Amino acid sequence: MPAITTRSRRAVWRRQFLLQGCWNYEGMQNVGFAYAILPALREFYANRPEEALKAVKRHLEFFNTQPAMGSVILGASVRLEERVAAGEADVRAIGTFKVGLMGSLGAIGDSFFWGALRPMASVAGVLLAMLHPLLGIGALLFFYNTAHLTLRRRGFAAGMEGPEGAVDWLKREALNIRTDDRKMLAAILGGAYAGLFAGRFAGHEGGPLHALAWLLLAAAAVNLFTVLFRKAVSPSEILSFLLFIGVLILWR
Amino acid sequence: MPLVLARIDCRLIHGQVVETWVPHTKADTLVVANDDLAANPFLRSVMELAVPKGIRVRFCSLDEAVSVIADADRNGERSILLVSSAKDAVTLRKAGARFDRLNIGNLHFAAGKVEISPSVFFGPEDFDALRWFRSHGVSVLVQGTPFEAVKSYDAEGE
Amino acid sequence: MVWQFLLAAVLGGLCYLDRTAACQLMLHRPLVVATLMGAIFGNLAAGAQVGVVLELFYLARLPVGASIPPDDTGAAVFGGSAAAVASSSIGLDVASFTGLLLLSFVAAEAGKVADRFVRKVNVRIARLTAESVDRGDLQAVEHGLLAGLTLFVVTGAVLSLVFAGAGVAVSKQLLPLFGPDSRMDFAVLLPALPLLGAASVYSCSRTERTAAVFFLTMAAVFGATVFFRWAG
Repeated sequence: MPAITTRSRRAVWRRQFLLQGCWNYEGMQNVGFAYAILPALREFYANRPEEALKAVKRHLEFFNTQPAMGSVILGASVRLEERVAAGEADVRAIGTFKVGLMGSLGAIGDSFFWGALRPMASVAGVLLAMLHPLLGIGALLFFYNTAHLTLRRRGFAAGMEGPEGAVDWLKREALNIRTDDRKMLAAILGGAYAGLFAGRFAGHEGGPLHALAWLLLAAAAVNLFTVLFRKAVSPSEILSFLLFIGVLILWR
Repeated sequence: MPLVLARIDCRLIHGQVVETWVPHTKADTLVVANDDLAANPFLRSVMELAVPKGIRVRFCSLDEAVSVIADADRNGERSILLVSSAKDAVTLRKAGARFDRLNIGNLHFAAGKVEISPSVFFGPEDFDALRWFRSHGVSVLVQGTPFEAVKSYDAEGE
Repeated sequence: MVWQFLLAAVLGGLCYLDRTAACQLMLHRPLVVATLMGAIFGNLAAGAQVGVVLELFYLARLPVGASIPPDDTGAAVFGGSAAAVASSSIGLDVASFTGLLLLSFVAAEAGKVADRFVRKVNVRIARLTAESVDRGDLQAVEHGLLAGLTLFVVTGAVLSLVFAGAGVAVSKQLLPLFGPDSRMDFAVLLPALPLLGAASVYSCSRTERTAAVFFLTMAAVFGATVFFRWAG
């Protein structure tokens, strides 16, 4: 059994970007995963249609993880399928590996990408957008995607070294520490954003005391919104409440 | 501190738990009671990577769970209990874990299961467990994250 | 106007595709989408102005597992197109700005309902795919994925068309109903909105270390802003 050809490997790499192309409530990313790994399966089971079918079916089982972290599991699954096709590994190892890792990698990815990197890139983008909109958009896309695409590439390559390689890479990459760093940056930039807008609205007239009162009011508002968010109040509910007050003002 | 949340989630620790329930409940400990995981150091080591700094995670088998929860309790920890199936939750409750509300986050689809919410599907044994909880004074709440609407199955006599 | 709506539907559909189905390069973020819609409807700067505030509103609602966050892409299609149409040569007036931001939540919630619908229809596509594979047709996986993608992009284009239409209608019909006086009163709500966005960032970035940092930076930047205005 030869190692996977560069052509199939590239096809799998490209297809990982469509992991959520058929996201559904029942199997979530199942169709996307089967689609992504298909070029590799076609190669491994080239003259064994029965086994190819079984292989595709096992990848149509439920699957869900953070989409960018899917690259790691995808790479490792390609390697595992290769071993299974060569008769070097047990089929059950694939399912155990995917199910065992998807939750954990999902959590790591959700915290890093959605909980830290995206807010950081977003708030950096909006701050720079105040200088020029296109600069802001460029910055948002740049900050997010340099980390995003690098992790996809490295994760896929690490996965291709097999499950052990994938986990070693995860430990080396120390995403939880990087999550904390991005959160710190997001907090600094978010504070700057709040300060900038609060300062703009503070008005021209009034002395230092007036300004201080504004600052305290703004900080209290941020704190109140945060408490409401933690109590599972949606931003939409807050907006609709403010709109209601606005309508009362207009009707008065 | 008693449990701040008891949750059935077939994925155990994942994004919904770490990014929404932990801040919502201000928990500082995750107790993961699962026999497969307790026996598999490889999967445990991966799952540990998913736990944010400042949050303690205690893995244990179902047998040990009650004493682990009690230990966390003595330590003053605010813990979230995670199990992967309704059957495991019944086992723990019978063994003496104290919770009056049980959250169900994710139970994946399999052939023959009935859809309860987009991410929760019940099979016959899940319904049995649900009935057992109702007759033993435990309210069951189907809710993926704190932001979603709750679907509740209240305990009898409430 | 027909060309503008056509362009909004096509480009909006592509941005929606980036949201869930493909790539996740952040082309679906409100800053990008609102600016784009602003450009299509004649005022890039007005669209960006709305995008700067909308971008942060729903940041703390993460797309985790089966939990679907409100559709801020849709909110941005609405806000960006409406802002461009409502703005005049001197820019967007404060009351319209406030009103559009407040109304955007309707698009966000409507888009979320549509998103759920797509993911339910995809269940059927996934089942059909599995059945075809059972019958020995491996290509069904590719067809199934293509069907899912098509559904996502078509829904995105339709939503973009509807929200852009709603944005233009609100700017042309609703906003002019209010006179200058009542509009000024309405604008008192504006300061709350960027702070709502800042609170979203604070919520997701909150750890023991960051809480103090957020408020210290806020105070420092506030001080600098006010000071420079006094000095200038």
